[in-house]
Amino acid sequence: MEILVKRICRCLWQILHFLFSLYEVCLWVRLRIIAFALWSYDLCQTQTKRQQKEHDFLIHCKRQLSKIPKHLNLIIGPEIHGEVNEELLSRLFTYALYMNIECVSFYDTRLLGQKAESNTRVIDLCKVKCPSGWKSKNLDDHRALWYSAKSELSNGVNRSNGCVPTPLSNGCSKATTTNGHIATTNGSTNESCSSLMIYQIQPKDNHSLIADVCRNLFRERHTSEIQQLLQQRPQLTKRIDTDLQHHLQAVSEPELSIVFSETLCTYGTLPWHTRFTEFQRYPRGKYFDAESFATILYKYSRCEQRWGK
Amino acid sequence: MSWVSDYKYTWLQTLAMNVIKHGYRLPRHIAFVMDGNRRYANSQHIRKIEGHSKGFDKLADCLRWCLDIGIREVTTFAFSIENFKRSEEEVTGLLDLAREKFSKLLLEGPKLKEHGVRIRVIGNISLLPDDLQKLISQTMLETETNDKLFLNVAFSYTSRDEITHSIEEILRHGDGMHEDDISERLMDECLYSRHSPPPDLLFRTSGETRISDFLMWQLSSTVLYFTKILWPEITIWNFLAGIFTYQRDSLHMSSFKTQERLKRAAVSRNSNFYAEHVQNFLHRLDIYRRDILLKWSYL
Repeated sequence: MEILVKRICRCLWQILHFLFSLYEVCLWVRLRIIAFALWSYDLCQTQTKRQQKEHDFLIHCKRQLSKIPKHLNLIIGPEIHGEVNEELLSRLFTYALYMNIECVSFYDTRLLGQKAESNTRVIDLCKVKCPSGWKSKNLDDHRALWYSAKSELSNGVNRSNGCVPTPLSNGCSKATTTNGHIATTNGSTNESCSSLMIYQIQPKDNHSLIADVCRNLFRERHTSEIQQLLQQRPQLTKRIDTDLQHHLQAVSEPELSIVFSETLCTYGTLPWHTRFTEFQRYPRGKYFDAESFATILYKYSRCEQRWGK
Repeated sequence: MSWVSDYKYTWLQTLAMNVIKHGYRLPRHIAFVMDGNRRYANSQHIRKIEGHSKGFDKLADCLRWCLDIGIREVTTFAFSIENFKRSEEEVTGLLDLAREKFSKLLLEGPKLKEHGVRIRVIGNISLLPDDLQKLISQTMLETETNDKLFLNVAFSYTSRDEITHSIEEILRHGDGMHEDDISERLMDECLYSRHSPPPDLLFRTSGETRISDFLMWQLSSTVLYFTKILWPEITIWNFLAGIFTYQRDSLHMSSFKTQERLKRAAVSRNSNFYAEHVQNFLHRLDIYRRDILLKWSYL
């Protein structure tokens, strides 16, 4: 009798699962049709015209937002195949530039399962193109800087020598009080910080990096400095934070993370830094354009951080 | 028993519970961020502390649902270190509520044994008042041999504090270890949550979509489930919806979880995790932690 009940229950679960899957497929088909229509519409326009339109739209949206993240993080799930590619990231980074977001980091979890013979595509940062009027400089294999061609002309010393922007100069400072910066009221792009730092998070930047920091501290554990830190835990926390900042080179705590995956999960992304990050899942199959980016920022703008209070 | 309610199911709820229970793989470990008590209190025009009290009652319901459906481990975020920033009145009220609940727990020792409930408090207990430290350590020691349902209460907890504590333990007690022995695998074992598997599902109420410094280290392959309902208003349907979401999502997550397991095994192998001196260190750590609990319980 018990086995029969179990079988019936399992069968009912399968029916429920099937109905939900069917609903999801219908939703996916609908999103793909819309995506095709939007893509065709974009194709009818010249790239410059489209970029100008998106720029104007996002500037208009910026006026209505109460806050904008300084550091935007992207997580690409392991089951996402070709949908998140260099072209999508190029578009997304461009929107981030228009919105004065100062740093975008992304973690491609497909890196983890990558095998030599596998067809899985992972993002190649060198192939992500910046929009016209902007220049891109690869600072190293995993970091790039997009900056205004105009600003290079005016203060080329800072931008063209490829120096790494410090947390203060690039504005990717630690968001400890505001969790995002306030959008400028006139909505104009602020040329003084018209650059975008792009960082590709590596698997070794996550838990392993904290273990590395622990290993370094362990090596010096008999010094008076470490012995003093052991007396006061907040000081030790501060030291770990500083060491991690040093290793990650100015990548601060992301305020917003967009997860491109079927499942909402952190996939182990920066466990030290994402404690107050707002996570939003982006549905599979949905076309990513300026409007969807603005929707994400609107949602983020409505989130209120309480900082434990 | 006050920590596990005597919830009465309707026939439809019983059916739904059975469908979810026997349908597909259940989470072994579920973590709850019980958010929305104060907003609930405001909406009902009652005092904040009454909102927290209602929230605790709901936790008792949730534990009953977990026990009945077959989830063996539950972690709840009861009080963050950041919550010490709240008004003195609210902090005192919350600490009083904790005193009351842990005292009741101690009186219910035989019932806890009968249900096999083991209580573990994870967090920086040294930041709490002495009497609460005593109650907490007595509760943990009283239930340490129970092994059917594990309830981890994150109290005076933040994830950063936990990671720092893990590093601190290695620096303080790591004599006899080599620097090559230090890895994320070793750090796993020095966390407050040592002996617990990582949560399979994190369930947060009140519509917030952040994790608020809760189990950040452990969440690598955890399904995050955010729902708009306020914690005191949570029903069995919300609970089952969360479990069903996990079941469906775990179908996509299986390959990632396998990779994680393989990576973890490789790290263990490369960092001598199973070497005798490392295991001795972990054994010493367990003894040290138990000694502290004993010391607090005799305060």
